[in-house]
Amino acid sequence: MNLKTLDARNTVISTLEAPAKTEQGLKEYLPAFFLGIFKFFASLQLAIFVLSALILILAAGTFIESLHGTEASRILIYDSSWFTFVLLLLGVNVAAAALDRLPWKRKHSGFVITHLGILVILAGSLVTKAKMIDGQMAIGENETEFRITLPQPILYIYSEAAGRDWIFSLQKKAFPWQGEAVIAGGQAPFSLKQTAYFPKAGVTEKIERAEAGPAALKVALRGSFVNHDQWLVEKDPRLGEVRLGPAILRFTDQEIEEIKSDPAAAQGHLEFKFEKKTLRLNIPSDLKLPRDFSLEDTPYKIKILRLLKSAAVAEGKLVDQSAASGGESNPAIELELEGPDLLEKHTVFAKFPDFPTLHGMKPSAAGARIFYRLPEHGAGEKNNELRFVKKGNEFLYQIQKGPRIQSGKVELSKEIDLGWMDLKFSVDTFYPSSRARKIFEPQANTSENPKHISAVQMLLEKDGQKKSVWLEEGVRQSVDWSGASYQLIYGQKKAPAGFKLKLRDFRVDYYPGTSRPASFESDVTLKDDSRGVIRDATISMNKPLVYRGFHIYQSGYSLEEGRPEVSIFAVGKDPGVPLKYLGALIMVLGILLMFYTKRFSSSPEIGGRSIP
Amino acid sequence: MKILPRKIFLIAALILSVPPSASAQSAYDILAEMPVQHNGRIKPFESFSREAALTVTGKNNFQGIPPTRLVWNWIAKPEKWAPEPMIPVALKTLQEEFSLMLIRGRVSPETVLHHRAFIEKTQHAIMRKDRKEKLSFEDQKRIEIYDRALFFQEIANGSLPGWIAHPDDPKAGWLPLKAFAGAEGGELLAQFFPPEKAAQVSGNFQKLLFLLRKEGASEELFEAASDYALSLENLFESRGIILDHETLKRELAYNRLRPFKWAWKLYLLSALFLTGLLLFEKKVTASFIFQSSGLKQGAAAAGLVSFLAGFAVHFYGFFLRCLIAGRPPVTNMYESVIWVSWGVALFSLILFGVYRTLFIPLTAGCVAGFALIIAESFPVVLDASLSPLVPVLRSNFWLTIHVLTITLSYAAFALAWGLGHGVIFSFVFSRDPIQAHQKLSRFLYRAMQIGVILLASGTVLGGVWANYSWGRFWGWDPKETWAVIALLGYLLVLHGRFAGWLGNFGIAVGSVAAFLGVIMAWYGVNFVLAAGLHSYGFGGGGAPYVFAVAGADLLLIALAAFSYKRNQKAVPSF
Repeated sequence: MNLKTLDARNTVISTLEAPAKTEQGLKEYLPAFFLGIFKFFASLQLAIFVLSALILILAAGTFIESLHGTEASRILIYDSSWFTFVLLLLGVNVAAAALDRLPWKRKHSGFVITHLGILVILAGSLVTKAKMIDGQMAIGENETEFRITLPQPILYIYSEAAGRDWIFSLQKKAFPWQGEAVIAGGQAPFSLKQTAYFPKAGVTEKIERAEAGPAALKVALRGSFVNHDQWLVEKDPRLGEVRLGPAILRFTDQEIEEIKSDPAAAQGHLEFKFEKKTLRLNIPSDLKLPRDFSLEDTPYKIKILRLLKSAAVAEGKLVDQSAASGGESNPAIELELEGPDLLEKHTVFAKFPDFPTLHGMKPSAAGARIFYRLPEHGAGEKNNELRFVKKGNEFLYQIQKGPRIQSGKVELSKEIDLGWMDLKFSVDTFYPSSRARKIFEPQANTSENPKHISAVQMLLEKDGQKKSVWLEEGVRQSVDWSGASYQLIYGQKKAPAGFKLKLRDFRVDYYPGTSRPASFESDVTLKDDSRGVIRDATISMNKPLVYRGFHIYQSGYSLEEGRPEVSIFAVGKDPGVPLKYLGALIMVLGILLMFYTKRFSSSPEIGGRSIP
Repeated sequence: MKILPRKIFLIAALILSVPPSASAQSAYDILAEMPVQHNGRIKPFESFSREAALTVTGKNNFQGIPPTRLVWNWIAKPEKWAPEPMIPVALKTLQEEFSLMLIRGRVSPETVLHHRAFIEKTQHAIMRKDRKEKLSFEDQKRIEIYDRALFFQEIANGSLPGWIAHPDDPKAGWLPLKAFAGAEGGELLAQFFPPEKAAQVSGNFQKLLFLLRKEGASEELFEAASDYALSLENLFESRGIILDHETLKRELAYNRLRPFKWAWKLYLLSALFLTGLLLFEKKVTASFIFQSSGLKQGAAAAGLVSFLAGFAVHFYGFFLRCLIAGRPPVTNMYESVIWVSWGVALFSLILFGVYRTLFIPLTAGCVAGFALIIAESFPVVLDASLSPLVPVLRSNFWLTIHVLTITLSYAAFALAWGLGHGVIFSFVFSRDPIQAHQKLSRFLYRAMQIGVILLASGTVLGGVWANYSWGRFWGWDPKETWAVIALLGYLLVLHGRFAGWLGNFGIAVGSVAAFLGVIMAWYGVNFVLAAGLHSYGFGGGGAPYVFAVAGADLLLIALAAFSYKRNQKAVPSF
């Protein structure tokens, strides 16, 4: 194999590449020097060099994408200006090679048409690069959206006091970056520098000793399969109560209430949670219905209407099916709540405490949430709890296992048996007051962990005062700056779409008997006020809505319990497409013509070019 | 030397021989035919049991027991099978973890589900998976083993598959054995079906189970199985549940026929005949069949006929699969290998029609046979089961056209790859190289042309589809990008030829090397890169083997080139 080395610097055109006829065609117009340059751009060496280079570049691009994510491959290769240059070089080469054959003869037709097609496609891709819109619209059910979220990161600053906002573009980076880049000098209320960009950041919280703040402790759980350290912060919404498998860890100022099997509450009890207090009403086994109770210290009275051991809906009515199903599968209580100017009927389900609110029934106007608690008999593991209680100077631990409660004084680093599984715990660190500090660490770009999100670090500076702020994507951050308060959000640019889209309904269809989705569909209404357009449409996978060049297609959805369904549409507009279609058509026709007209050389050795 | 053709016949007879099948219908035949619901599809129990046996044991016939019998054994005698070492453990570290419980490289489902240390670590791995963290290879294997054991357990305790359709809701999951096997089972069924029919079903099932457990006489068993099948049929009928029995029968026929196994045997048989012929004749054209006489004529005719038979059964199998799945089956690796190898045979027949040379079907027979053997031999990597499509792939005209075009281009390039080998070998071994390689090169060139046209238009069609459904023509998705890289590779070879830098030998080498691009676009993007929008085709496994085979092939070609160059020092360029 004596393939010649392919070298772009090789401007000396071998005789093989320059058919005598062609030189005659162009010699008349071009001086020798330009002819030489032209010949270089028209040369097959250059073609082969560009083709090989493209193969290597594109292959590298796909491996970068696999290892470091789509964003990295776009920034490093596909969206880079040098890649555009390579494509331009290809275009020049393709055009020059075609012009080199002037004047064209009939046998050139396939070859010329193919090269023309490639040129048109490349022109189309330039249009795309300049004009393409590729964004997203995430719309909740019964909500309307009129902006497209574009993949362009921005920093948004809002000041309520000043009543104005500022928007600054940020630069995407392929890899975690730390340095210093000026984002805004005089325009913002303070000068802004970006000091870090993590495409994916993991956030960990570090609890530190502080002058003021809630108490915190670090508890270690040890067992043959468990080796876990956990920070607990007193009465913290997140770290005050941590669920670990079948057990709960709590740090609060209230001791565990002992639950005694109370004959007065043989059928459980009702719990009325008012804003300030919780009332309990026992339901004895020999309850005669209907029966009135008054709720102490409140102006309210209740009347228990019915006690259903297994409630079920039959013919639109709630009936007791305990006879049929032979057990308490769905216990419920029907009651009336009476008070000043108030008479409400409620059905409370023991096993589905959220049921009434989930189904559109209004919570009580008395401001109480009502729960039906079943008697706790041997409800074993579910009640496992390790609680730390700080009451004045006392610092206690309590272990609950089923109905049994064991208490003691907390001593640092002393191992105590928990009694569940084979676990022991010890409190290793205790801070009387603490604060939490967030630590951002770069993660792999390809991490699919939903907790890993993009983050930037900003340095705010004015009059010698400095402040560094970490911003997580989409999370508002308040910054106090010389008396005024500013809201900072690191997010994505939003641009008006020119139309409004309302999501009326979103549906997921599953394959029979599985939880595997077979299709997603969104019913939407598109409104364009300026053109007087109202259009109802159903968008599903592979069935996009097309409006004024925008393709609105179903790209995803988010179903979270207790939240409205959110349908995610990708909204794309590519003005380069007509050119690309045209070019592709021309190119394919050209290839067909070339292969059809070109007779295979029947000479024993193919020496010269086959497109003569 | 004259005995050779007879030898070929002998080998052929060996290849084609099938194990004698029992003529009498057994209980398991009846059970195999019964419809069940699993994985969102209604299928004969046999299809389910094949998938189940493969999933749990990694083998089509575990201990030589046919899948239907095996799975019914699990159901009837879970206490015997749960401790049976069935689940393969290949990874060294996991083997050590199971240590003494590992028997012949396998562990029992019971061991897996009760091994505390294993379960504990697996739970952590599953938690990591739920958090979408990247899993280590060991964790992947760990979860795989756990899932296999769980799948066995679900079958053994009767939670899988579904046996009884909901009379009013065709979208609902079917009731599994667990629901009606017990004493109160009839009562549950009675809520949906006439009580006497429901009682019959659960009674007949009890009886069948009892006989299976005590391994009753085959006549008794046969009767019980028929009763059970009949009572289920009656049950469905009583509430007007109508199943597509024709498709079910078709699937059974497809399962039993094993069309692709037949196809590769026939392709290889044809290749044997034609190779035998080639040893004696340099010039083998179609007219040869009519002009010559005796053994050679017979061999040529037999080669061509067996090739055509292979082609026909290959097509029939593909056609059946289309009908069963209700869609063109090119949605996973297995199906695309089947389709591509059929395309190889198709293009070879077209080229044979034009050039009338038996070299072409010979090459195609080797390539298609090789591809089909691979498809049929690695069931764990190349999943042959029919599974529901992800939403993005459902019923779209452009998508189907785009995928079929692209994969057909792979077929043309695969044929070119085969012919490339032919050219190289003819250069190295043929007594009359100029004559032989000249002709073969022409076929090779044509195959490459077909491939280039199809790949270029298929890629464009992919852009059309992407624009239609995603609003963009081109997005540098890895699958798109590798299609372009493959195309550029072949363009490089063609331009090299235009420039005169590559002669016939060079093009042959180029067609083999450029095929690497196709392998990457076809297999590599899904199995190696596993990135991008075409994620529905992703799978795992086999990558080292694929690269080893591709590497060995290139090495072979390099050796051939080296030896050729040494012999042909006089020729300056090729």
